[in-house]
Amino acid sequence: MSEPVIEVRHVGKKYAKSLKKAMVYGLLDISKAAALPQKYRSDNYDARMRDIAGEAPAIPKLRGSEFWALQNVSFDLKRGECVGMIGHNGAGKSTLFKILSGIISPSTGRVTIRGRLTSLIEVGSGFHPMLSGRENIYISGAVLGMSRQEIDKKLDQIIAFSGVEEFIDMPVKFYSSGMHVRLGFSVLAHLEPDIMLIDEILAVGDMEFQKKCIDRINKMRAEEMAIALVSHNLHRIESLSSYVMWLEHGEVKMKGDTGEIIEAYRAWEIEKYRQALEPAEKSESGNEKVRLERVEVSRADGGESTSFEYGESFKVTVHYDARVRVEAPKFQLFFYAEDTLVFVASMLIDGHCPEYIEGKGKVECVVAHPCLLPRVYEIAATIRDLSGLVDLVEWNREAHFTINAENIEKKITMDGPCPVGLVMQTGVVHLDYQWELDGARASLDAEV
Amino acid sequence: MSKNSPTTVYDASNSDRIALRAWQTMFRELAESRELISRLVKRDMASQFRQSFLGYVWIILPPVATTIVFTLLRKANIINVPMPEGAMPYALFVLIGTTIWGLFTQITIMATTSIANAGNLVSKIYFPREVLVLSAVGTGLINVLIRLMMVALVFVLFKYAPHWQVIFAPLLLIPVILFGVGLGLMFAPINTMMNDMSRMLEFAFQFGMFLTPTVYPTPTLGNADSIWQQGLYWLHTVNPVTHFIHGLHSLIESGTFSPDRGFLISCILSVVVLLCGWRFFHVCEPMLAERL
Repeated sequence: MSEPVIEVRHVGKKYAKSLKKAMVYGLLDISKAAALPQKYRSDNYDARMRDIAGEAPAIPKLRGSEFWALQNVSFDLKRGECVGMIGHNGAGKSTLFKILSGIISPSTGRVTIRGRLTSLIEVGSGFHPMLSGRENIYISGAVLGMSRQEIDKKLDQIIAFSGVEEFIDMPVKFYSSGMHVRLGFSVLAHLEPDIMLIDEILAVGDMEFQKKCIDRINKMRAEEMAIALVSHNLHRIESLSSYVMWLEHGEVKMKGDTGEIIEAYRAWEIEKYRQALEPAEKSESGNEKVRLERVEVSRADGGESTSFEYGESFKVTVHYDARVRVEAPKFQLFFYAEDTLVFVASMLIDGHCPEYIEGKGKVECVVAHPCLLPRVYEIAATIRDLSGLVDLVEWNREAHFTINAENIEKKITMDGPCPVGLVMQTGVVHLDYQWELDGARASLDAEV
Repeated sequence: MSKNSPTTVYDASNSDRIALRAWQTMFRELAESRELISRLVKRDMASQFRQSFLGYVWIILPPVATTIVFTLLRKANIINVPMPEGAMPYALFVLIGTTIWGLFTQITIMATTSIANAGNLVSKIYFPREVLVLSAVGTGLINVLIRLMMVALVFVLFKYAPHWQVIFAPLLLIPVILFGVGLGLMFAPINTMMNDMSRMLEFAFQFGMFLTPTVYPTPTLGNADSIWQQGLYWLHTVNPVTHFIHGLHSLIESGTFSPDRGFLISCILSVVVLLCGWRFFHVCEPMLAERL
């Protein structure tokens, strides 16, 4: 029972970047495989010896224009466990899944699968657009390895689960994409696999169906199914995984405890995002009349820094260059957290306004004790004319700053279970709040 | 472990597919996927003509059209095709020839393109890829069955009664089918990497039709008066399909059939091609998905 259902040892996969080369290598590989049994090839002898000695296999050479999509990946997965895989696009997660499901064969190493494996990238496999939903259930089921009797038995369940009863006899090509996925997932969900690979699929479908899917997956997991999960939604990974594997450029960067790795990954992601913003600072924007030279973020006392603790005041300085005299310009600062507009400091609202600007100069804005939660924020600055209707400078998002998590626990009460790793969405700002417990004593008081 | 939990190993060295015991796996996989094959054949048949008015007429149209054109050309004395003594009417001759040739070419081409056509499926899910080839062949066979029924109907229209031994004719079709499947299995992996393969085949088959007794009978070596006729005879002879069509002709015309050397060689060749093709396909199988 404790034998792992997935055993991956030193698995690697190489691909060719160019289509023509891929074609040539493919033909070469095929003729080599057909003409010369691998047993008699010298490199295979070496591989066997290393295998016996328990060493990692020698890494085959790359031919021109080839690269490693996956390199030296090893892990085990037992029943009832769930491994979460994180990593940026192109880190090798999907390649790994394809190897696990047997679609492509590894270039190095070995994979052992014990039991029936299905993969959620297969949603709707074998669906023929001309045929009805009912007919397609049978086809998809057969492709995925269900026998006719098995499908007959589960047909009603499958249709009910999908929620497309009404259209079950309509050709699938008239289905909406949501209905397509629903029907496809329903077939998969009734396969009763021992291992399931889930690749971000739960992003489709409406909330109600997503919940249904997650319930179903949890139920299957309780029945001792093993899961490998790829998602960019860290909350989902955190709540489902027993351990996490972080892939980067085809290699395992970190593997182990969920909370620890997620935290490291988040920090790394913020850092990467911040770096990506860096070069934008050099660009200049503005039309002929007025130009924004740069927007700077600093400490409230002018000290250089773009990283602040929670609640620390900071100052935004807008350097402008007005080539003509502009009467009563209106400065505005927009604070963004990714795509969310968090806060606006606007002279159109507060009524402050310089009499006129001409030549080079600067305008400063101090933000006192902001209640922004840790993450990267970007600032967009604009200057409007006196009517407030016309933008005098081009739209930009040049400046950014980071609120870090240092000492945050001293300023916000954080005694609940969430900060230590449970699923939590934190929001962007923190406001002062008070629970009214209506007669019941606050549990905090009770413990003290 | 619950139920029957099969253990699967994907190994970089791929040695299981190359060892001699692979035949066992191949036959087992084939037996296990019977249901899937029939399911896919049904799917293809059902969907083939759902959105068309003429539907199954499209299956019988190509040989009929060829027959009409060549019969017309011959009647109008534009081409001169001498038919031997006691032969069936020319129209029937063309119809049978093109139907059998069509059987061979259709099976080969459908099998060759089957993997590349199902790219969407192949790159998403694993199952024995032979299934795709064989289901394409199955669809082709059903099409041919429909054509054969049409051929029988035309025999009635011409009031031409073949000898009763003609019921053995399907036996003669078996080696043709095996030959086509074998070629298809051999070419399908290559076609996933370079689609020149299927174009090349179509091109070759177009000309191959004229080197087979489809629209004119094989010249006989006995009264060959020119080197050209001799050349043509040999070109016909090296084409395995020729011998099967000959067999069919003699079965219809005289009710007898005596396998000659060419026929036996062709039969053996068909089986050898099938086994080699299948083996080759099996070895290539793990490389198919990534090169699509």
